Amino acid sequence: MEYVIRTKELTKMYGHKAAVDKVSMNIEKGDIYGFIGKNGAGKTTTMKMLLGMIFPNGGTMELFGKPANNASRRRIGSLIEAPGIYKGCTAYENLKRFSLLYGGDDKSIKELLELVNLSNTGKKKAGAFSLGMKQRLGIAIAMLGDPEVLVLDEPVNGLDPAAIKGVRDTLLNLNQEKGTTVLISSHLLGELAKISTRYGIINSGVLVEEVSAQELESRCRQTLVIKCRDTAAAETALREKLGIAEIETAGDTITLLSGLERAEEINTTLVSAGAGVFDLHTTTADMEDYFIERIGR
Amino acid sequence: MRRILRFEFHKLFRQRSFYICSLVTAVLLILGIPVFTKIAKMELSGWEYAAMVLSNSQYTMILGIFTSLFICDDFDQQVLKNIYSKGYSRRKVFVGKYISSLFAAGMMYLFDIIVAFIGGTVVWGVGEVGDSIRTLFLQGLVLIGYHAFFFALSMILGRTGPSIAIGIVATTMITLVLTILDVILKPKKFSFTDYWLDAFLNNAGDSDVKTKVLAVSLVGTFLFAAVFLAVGYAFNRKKQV
Repeated sequence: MEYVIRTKELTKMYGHKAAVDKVSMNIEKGDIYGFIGKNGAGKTTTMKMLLGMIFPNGGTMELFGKPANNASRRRIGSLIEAPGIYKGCTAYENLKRFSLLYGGDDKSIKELLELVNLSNTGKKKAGAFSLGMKQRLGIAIAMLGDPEVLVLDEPVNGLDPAAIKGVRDTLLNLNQEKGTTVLISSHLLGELAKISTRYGIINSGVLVEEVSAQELESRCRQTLVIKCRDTAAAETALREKLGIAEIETAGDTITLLSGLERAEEINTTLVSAGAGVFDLHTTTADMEDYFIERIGR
Repeated sequence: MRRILRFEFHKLFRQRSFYICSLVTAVLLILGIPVFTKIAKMELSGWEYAAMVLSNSQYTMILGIFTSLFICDDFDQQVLKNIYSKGYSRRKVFVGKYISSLFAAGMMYLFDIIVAFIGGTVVWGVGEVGDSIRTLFLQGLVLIGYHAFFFALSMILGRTGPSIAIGIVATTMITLVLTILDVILKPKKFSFTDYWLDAFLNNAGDSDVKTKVLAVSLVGTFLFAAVFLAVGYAFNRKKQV
């Protein structure tokens, strides 16, 4: 497995309070890693430490398989909090300036302006841009020089639905075509769910869980809940008459992970088997509920 | 380092404040000419007026304003995080900013000399070179100390307004405090005010100054510059953005 970002017990203290508490994070090459947590959970602080903007009090960081250093950070593009832009300059001039540090020629600047839909801003100064336009300019700056990894902190903040979709499509495109790894934080779970291949859940500075999108999906999938008086008879009927194997029983409740589309048939079979069904319904574990369960309200 | 310098110089030549501050000093120099001719009734020359460029253009004050505007811009606009996060070390960024702003200070000084020389020549004629070039050169060296002071202050404070205000007030305040120390302590063999940049600048502009005093002024200038830069760097080295 090739990791592009790895931390081990990464810690950042502010006074006696740990903003980030022994976070061990693993991001593989090609991942779109959704970093989820409440405001103040430690997402931005973790990202800032990875980028060398603030200094950790403990733990280690590896970038591209080696201890994090300035040379490895050249391979990363980032947008942290509000975009850092020259407000007295045009979008083009902003990209031109940063291209001197990040790399990228005039052609790539124009392509990026097209990509983030800022190519028609002409001589308008960045200071007069809307919040969404500034955010898009920040994303374009992060993408300058074709970085192998993008670290984006709430990149869709302030964007309208069309622009959010634009950012999402761009990230998916970069990930699929160029293999760009993305570490992205957002409080819009639905948005993260559309692109993330892996999640990191952080709460009060502690990384609660790392989970792949597949695992998460299986944990959140629909189930059929049956309540009956004779669960043994119901289990037998389900296995022998309907061939359903994935059965979980607890008390008077049977949960089926498959065969949801056969609810009517299941009900008829259980009634004729004398299981005494008194409730049958489907449930869906919502992704939001899943995260809230882990990070609290 | 080359990339940092290209970035800083690209920024410098597109920084409006660089041109505005240069223009302001030039205007002050031009406005100074009638003061000499009409009010002071003095007959100077192009060379003599050029040698007086620092006192007639409010150069040090405007240098302080420009340095704060140029250096603090990246702090104010939160652009530094884009630079550090891309793997450019704090040391390189510090050096890059120092070199580009020192270059700007030198360019402004040179521009003012040319304006003063041309203005003075038009009104009074060219005149003799005399000690003018020596004076300009030595005063130019002392300006390195002033620049380091304003530069370090801007890097430490990181905010344009406070940097300008404190820069302007501090230069005056330091002279005032040293004067008060002289009055209170009454040292017999030296004077506190003789060991500050203002005195060094006067010594550099005095053609009759003793070699030893001049040497102390120049060494003192570089010592101050080194201390200011070291303090500025120390504050900046661990600055979190």
